[in-house]
Amino acid sequence: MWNLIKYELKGYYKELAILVCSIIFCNLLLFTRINIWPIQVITMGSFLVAFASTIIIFIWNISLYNRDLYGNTGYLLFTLPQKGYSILTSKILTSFIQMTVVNIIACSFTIFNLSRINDFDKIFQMAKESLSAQAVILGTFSTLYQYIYLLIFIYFCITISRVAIRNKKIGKFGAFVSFVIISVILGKLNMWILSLFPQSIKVNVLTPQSFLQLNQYANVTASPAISFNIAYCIFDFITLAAFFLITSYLLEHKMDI
Amino acid sequence: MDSVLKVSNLTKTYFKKSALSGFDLEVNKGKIVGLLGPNGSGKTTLLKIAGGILKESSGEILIDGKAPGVYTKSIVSYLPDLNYLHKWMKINDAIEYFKDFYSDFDVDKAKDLLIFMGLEENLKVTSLSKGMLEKLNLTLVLSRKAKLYLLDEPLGGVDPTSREKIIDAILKNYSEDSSMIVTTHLVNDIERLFDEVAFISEGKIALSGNAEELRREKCMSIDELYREVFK
Amino acid sequence: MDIEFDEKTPIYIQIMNLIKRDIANKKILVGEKLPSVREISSKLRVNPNTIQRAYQELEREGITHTLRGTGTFVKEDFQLISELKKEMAKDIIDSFISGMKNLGFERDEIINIVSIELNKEEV
Repeated sequence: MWNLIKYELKGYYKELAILVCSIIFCNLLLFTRINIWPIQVITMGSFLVAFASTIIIFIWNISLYNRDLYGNTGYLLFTLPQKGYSILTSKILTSFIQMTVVNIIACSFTIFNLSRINDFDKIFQMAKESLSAQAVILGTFSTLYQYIYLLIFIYFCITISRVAIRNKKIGKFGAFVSFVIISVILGKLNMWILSLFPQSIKVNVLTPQSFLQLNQYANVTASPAISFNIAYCIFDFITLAAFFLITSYLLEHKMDI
Repeated sequence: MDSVLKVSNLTKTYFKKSALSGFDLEVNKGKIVGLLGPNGSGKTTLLKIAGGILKESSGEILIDGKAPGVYTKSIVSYLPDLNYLHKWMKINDAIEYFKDFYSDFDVDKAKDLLIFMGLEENLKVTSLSKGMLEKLNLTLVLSRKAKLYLLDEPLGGVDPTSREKIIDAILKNYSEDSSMIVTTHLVNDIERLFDEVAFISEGKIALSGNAEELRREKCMSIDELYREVFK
Repeated sequence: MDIEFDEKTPIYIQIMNLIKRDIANKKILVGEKLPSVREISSKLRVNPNTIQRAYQELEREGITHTLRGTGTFVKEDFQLISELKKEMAKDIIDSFISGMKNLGFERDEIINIVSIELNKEEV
C-alpha cells in the first residue's frame, strides 16, 4: 500500500507543485494590494483562494481515481498483487495528503492576513476564552470525517458504476446518477432514524466562564450546544464502513477492465 | 502439480455477444503455447481473465490450482496489447515500479534486457516509438520470475529487427519452471517457439495439439495450418 | 545463424539430420560434446523442448550418449561416420535414381553419366 501512495505522489508532484505555486502567486498578488484595499477584503480574497484550491484538489483527486478505473493504467494497477482495501486506502491517503498540503499553505496565508486585521488579537483572545475545547476538537474531527466520508462515498459511486456499466461514457454519468440517488435515499433513511431515535449527545460550545458571562446579559437556560444524535452517528458510520468494504471488495474481485 | 493453467468450459459474454464460449485449455510446466486466431476470436479475453482483470461469466479457470486473485497475480506476468504505463514515467521509473510491487522481479536481468533491446533508462515513456514500447513492456514482463507468462501479441506492429530481438528475449527467458502463452496472428515468425498450439475461433478451441505432431500429421507448417483452419 | 527450416515437417527431425550430416562430414568429431540445448535453442531460435527431443532421439538411435550434468556427446565410434554417411546418402541416391529413371535413363546410362560428371569436376 505504501508503494501505491509513493507512486501516486511521485507521479503527480508536478501538478501539485503548480497548484501550490498558483496559491502562493495569488496571495502575493493580494499582498501587493495591502495598502490599497482594506485588509478584510484581502483576507477574504485569501480565503477564496484557499476555498478554490480545496475544490480544485478534491475534483482532481476524484478524476485521478476515475482515470485508473477507466484508462489504460488500469491494466497496470489491477494486475498488481494488491488487495482491494490496499488500493482504496492508498487512494484515500494520497488525496488526504495532497489536500492537507494545499490547505496548510493556503490557510497559512489566510491566517496571516487575518492577523493583520486591527482588532484581530482581541477577537482571537475572546474566542480562545469562550469556545470550549470540546467544541474545537469536535469541529476539527467533524471536518475530517466529512471529508473522508464524501471521498469514500464518491469513490464508491464511481466503482459500482464501473462494475455495473460496461460503456465508459455512460459509466461516468452513471457514477453521478448513483451519487444523487444514494444521497437521496440516505437522506430519507436519516430522517426516519432521527424520528425513531431522538436521543442525542450534547456538546457544549461555550466554556463555563463564557457561559456565565452570557447568562449575565441574557437569560439562557442552557449553554448553547451542538447535539449529535446517537443513532444518526452510528448509522452514518455504518454507511461509511459499508462504502469502504464494498468498494474494496469490488476493486479486488469484480473489476472488468 | 504439473498443470500451471487449467481452463474448463470458460464462457465470457457481454450482453448478447460472447467472447468465449466453452473454452478449454491446459498448460503444463515448462511449455510455450501458441494461442492462435484472428482478431476478435477471444485470445485477449482469455488472457485478461487469466491475468485477473476480467471476470468470467461461467466455467472454471485455475492458475497453479487457484482461481484468479491476489495470489495468482503474483505468479502471473501479463503483457497486454496496449500501452499501460503511466505517462509521467521514465524507463527507470517503470523498472523501480515493478521492483517495488513484484517480489519476483530481477532488476539486474531487467537492466541486461534493456541493454539487449537498446533502450536507455532515462528516456521518457511518452517519447518511445511503438516498437520501443513493446520492447520495454516485454522487458518488464520477462524480468519477473513468474510461473506463467501471458504475452498478448508481442510482435504486433513491430519492425522485423525488433521482432527478432523479441523472439530472442523470449527464448533467453525460457525456464523449465515456468510456462508461457503467446497470442499472435503473425504465426510465421514465431512458430518455431511453440511446444503446443491452440487455434481459437469464435470463443472456443478449433484445433489444438503438439506443434511437431501437427506438422507431421498435416504435413504443413503451423502457419499454413493456420490459414487452413481460418480460411 | 538463422537456418531456414522447412516448417512443414517436424523441426526436431530436421535438427537431427543437421547434426548427423555434421558428424558425417566431420564438422562434429566423434566423441565431441554437442552444444547445450540452450545454446542451440538460442542460436536457431527454436523451442528448447524441440532441441531436447532431437537429442533424445539421437540417443535412442545410438548416435549420442548423455552424461548427466555434463552434456551430450557423440559416441566414440568411428564406424558411426561411415554408417551415417551411408544412411544419409541413401535418401539422396534413392531420389536421384528415381528422378533419372523418370527422365528415361537406363541403368548403364546412369552410371556413365555420373562418371562423366565426376571426372569433369576433378579437372
